[in-house]
Amino acid sequence: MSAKRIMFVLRNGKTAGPSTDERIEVAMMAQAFDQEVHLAYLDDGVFTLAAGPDDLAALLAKIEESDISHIWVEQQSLAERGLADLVLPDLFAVLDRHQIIELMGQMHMVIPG
Amino acid sequence: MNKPLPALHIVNKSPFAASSLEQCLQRLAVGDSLLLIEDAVYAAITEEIWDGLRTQPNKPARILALSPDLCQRGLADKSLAEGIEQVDYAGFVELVTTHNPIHSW
Repeated sequence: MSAKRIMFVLRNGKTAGPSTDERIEVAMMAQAFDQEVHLAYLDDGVFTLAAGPDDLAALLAKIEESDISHIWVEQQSLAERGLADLVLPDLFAVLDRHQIIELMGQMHMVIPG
Repeated sequence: MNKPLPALHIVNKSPFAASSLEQCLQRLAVGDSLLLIEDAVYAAITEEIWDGLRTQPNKPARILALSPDLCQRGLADKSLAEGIEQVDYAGFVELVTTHNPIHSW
């Protein structure tokens, strides 16, 4: 069976419930089963990347352990929230909204979070 | 990577209570369809919400509202905003089979 392209869309802030962490756990599982996993940080989801260096380091360690390598952060979501200057690890690629839309269209599954 | 089918975007929150619909509309690709269910059907009777969208190049190929959810909210006899279609559960299933990916907002 060939790998499915699965995008987990993370649109909620850190305090909007457990869903972002849970989605990442599910994404890690999918990656462990050799699926092509994409994480997309949109809307308030970008706030989870600005929660502080400790949180970001913990997230990065988790992601690196899982080998997820497609991690996208929408530039407009950052800019709309005053986070345009946020410094992110190299693993996180900042993309334009149109690039995110194009990527979404190439997925086999899009899972909201 | 080929894209054999357009995406179906499903929104279930009222546009007056959450920004999901607005955020979805910002991220439509040409040819995608939009289905309004649950409290999102309130958007279907509100013409102003769609005014800006009609001139955009990425406007959805189809905008649909789930008729049982319109009925449950006493909106069955209301006229829908221009271009919005009603769809029943069977139509919902057909949409799911003719679109990919399915994106719930």
